[in-house]
This record gives sequence, C-alpha cells and structure tokens, in this order.
Amino acid sequence: MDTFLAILRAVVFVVIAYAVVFVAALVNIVFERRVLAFMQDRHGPNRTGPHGVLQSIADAFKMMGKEDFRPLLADPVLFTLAPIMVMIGAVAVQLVIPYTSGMTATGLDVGLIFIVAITGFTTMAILLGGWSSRNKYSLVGALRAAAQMISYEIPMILGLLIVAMIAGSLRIGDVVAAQAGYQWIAFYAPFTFLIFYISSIAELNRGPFDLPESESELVSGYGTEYSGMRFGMFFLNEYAGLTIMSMIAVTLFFGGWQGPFAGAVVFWGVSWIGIIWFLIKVYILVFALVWIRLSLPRLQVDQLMAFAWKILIPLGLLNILATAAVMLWIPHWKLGMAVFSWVAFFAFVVLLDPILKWRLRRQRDRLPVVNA
Amino acid sequence: MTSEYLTNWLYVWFFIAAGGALVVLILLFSKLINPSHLTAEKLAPYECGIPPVGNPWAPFAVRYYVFGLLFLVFDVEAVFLFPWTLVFRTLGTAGFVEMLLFIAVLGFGLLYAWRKGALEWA
Repeated sequence: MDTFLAILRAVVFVVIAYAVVFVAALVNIVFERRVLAFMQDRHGPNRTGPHGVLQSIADAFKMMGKEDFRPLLADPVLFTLAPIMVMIGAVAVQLVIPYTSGMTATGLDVGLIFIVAITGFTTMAILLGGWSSRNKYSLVGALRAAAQMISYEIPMILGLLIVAMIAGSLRIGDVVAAQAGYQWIAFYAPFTFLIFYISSIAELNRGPFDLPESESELVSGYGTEYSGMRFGMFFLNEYAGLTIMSMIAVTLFFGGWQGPFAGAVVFWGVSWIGIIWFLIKVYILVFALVWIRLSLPRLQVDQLMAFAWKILIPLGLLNILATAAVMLWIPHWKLGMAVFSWVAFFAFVVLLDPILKWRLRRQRDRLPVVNA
Repeated sequence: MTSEYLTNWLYVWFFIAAGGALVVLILLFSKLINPSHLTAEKLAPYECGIPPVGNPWAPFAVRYYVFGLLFLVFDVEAVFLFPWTLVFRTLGTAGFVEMLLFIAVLGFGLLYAWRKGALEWA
C-alpha cells in the first residue's frame, strides 16, 4: 500500500510538471505577444477567443497538424533525441522547485547542483539538434548557442554559490526557509541577483542574448531543419523556460511561495495561498523578461562572450570573496551585506556603460587612420 | 535515511524518464494526424533555396574549443566551491584565506587566457 501511494505521489508530481510546462508555454506565448503589442501601441492577437486568449491553443493544434519530417542527410537517431532531451530539461528541473509549502516532489540534498546539472540538458539538446541536422546554419547556430550557454552558466553558478552561502544549505527548501519574514535574498544581495538574472536570460537564449536563433542572419539557427512537432518541442521549451527560470529566480531570491497570509488556507499539508503568491511573483519576473527583450537590441557575438568572461565572471568571483568576508567578520552581516551589495549594484548599473564606451573610444583611437 | 536517499534518486530517474516519455507520446500523436508528402527538395538541407555546397560536418572554428576548455576549468572550480560555501562559517579565517588563494590562482588563469587573447572572439 505504501509503495502504491509513493508511486501515486510521483505520478501526481509528474502530471503537475507536465501541466506547468504546457500551461506556461501556451500562456507565455499569448502573454508575450499581448505585452509586446501593448508596449508598441498596437492590438496584438485579439481574434481567437476573448482578447485572443485561445490563440496559442489554436497554434498548438496547427503545429500538431504540420508535416514532421527528417531531412535525408540528418542523423536518424540524434535528430529525434534532441527534442526529447530538451523536454527532459524542462520537466525534470521542477523536481526540486517548491510550488508552495509542502508541495515539492522531493527536496534533494543537492537541489542547487541539481538545477545546474539539469539545465545542462538544454545545452546538450541544442548542440545535438544543430549538429545532427547537417546544415550549415544549424551547426553555426548550435555552436553559438552552446558557447553562449556554457559561458553564462558560470556566472549563474557563481550566483547560486552565494545563495548556498547565505542559506547554509543546498536544499531548496532550506533556501526558502532562510528567507522567512520578508528577508528575501534579493533585498540584501541585489548584486548577486543581477548577475544571476543576466546570466539566466542568456541561458534562455532570449532578449538581448538571442544570437543563436537570430532570424535575420542564421534562419533561426539550430532549429532550421526542424519542422512540425519536433520543432514544437524546442519552441515549447523556450517559452516554458521563461516561467521555469522565473520560478527558480523567485524561489532562490524572492522568498518562493512566502507572502502575507501564505499559511492561512492549509489542507492536505499544502498551503494554497502560497501558490497564488508564487504565481504573482513568477509572472512579475516573466513580465520583466518580456520588457527586457523589447527594450534592448541584440548584442554582437564578441560583445556577448566578452561580457560573460571579462565582466560577469571576475565580478562574480570578487562578489563571492566579498560576501564571505562580510559574513565572516561583520557582526550584523545581513545589514553589512545589504550596504555592500546595493552599492555594488548601483556602481555596476551606473558605471558599466561609461566604462565600456571609454574602452571603445580608446580602441578606436589606437586604430591606424586610413586616408581615402 | 538510506531508503529516503534512494527514493529521492528514484524520483530523479522517474522525472527524467517522464520528460522523455512526454515527447515520445506527443510525437507519436502528431504522427497520427499530420500529413506526409515527401519530395526530394524537401528532404535536402535548407540553404535559402540554393543547392548546398560541401559537407557541413567539416572542422569548425577552434575558438569554440578554447571556450569549452575554459568552461571546464571554471565548472570544476564550482564543484570545489560548493562544499566550501556550506562550511566556510565554521572554517573561519583559515578557510577564507585558502579559498582566497584558490580563487586567486583561478583569477590568474583567467588573466592569462585574457592576455593570450583566448577571450577575443574576432
């Protein structure tokens, strides 16, 4: 009987994970299109259902009915394995995310490392997909995607390390517990959150970092040869990724499911108000992702790599040392960290642009003058 | 303790299998309802309508390999940092100095790669 209940519990959580992936992807597509339309002062999709809310369901069924074929030269096994692996990343990462109090599939002891490990599936899937389609655009897109995603994985890990230092545990449940009483990590470590957030946008291949699938140069990069539902899987993962990455960010930096009256309605050991707070926080971050995508132009590939290796990684390493020093030697370390981190945050935001411009000007001055 | 540990990892494998199974099911379902009219042009690699030239599985730029190596160094470094983050409060100053040296060595490695031009894309 116990075994049966355990299996039932696992199945319920898998169904929740499936539901999150599908609902998130379908909602996010409409959400993003409507928000972009609102910001660009136009209507956006508004014909399918009330205010266009059924648009993505119509798109999903259209996608299902599209012809799905494998190009003759493509690798027969890896070409299908890539979309399968991309979805494993999206589903399995939810294993450790607490949707609300008492609603985690399993609190792994190494939850933070698990998140890093399982998001690696997406990198591998994209590389496999692009390489196995045997197309030049796919290969270039996949290599760019892999280079970008591994480069930005390091600043992301450096951000996670600080979360582990503050919580004193790699369990996601302990990280949320460490943020009880509105002492959210983002409030007193905003600089860490900034590093984490920038690199998570790059991990999602979105916003200013969407080089791997830049439509105008690479005919959509690694997805060039994919059609029908196999392409749909990459697409689904990308949009579900918005919500899943925001879920991770909310859990680690914004107190997860905690909020006013979070423990008010509890049955079956699950606090149901917590889900509402969790969703509100997640969708504020998803909105921010859409806003960033709209506001910032795409980077050049050399700027992209330089930003990860020359700016984010050294700053991330210094941030770890500074955080450790503050936590070891300052009595009220939360206050000390808040001062340090907010100063670093504003220094980064204010100084980054002038310093980059100054460097660029110096480089231009060094170039030999060409007389026409 | 042991059984809980094992159950946790059963969950991991179950979720990974479930993620794969979901895609297989969706692909099978879409196979049932979608059409299939293959032609030689459709099956050829897409290169903006021009007949493809050469094999795309040719050697590619070496800089990806350099970044791969650098990534490996820093990823392994993170593996060493994770246990330190959990115990650094009890290790105190000695642990901090050791980690300072470790990160300094890595920092010099990064500086070396930078000076050698390994971080330049062009």
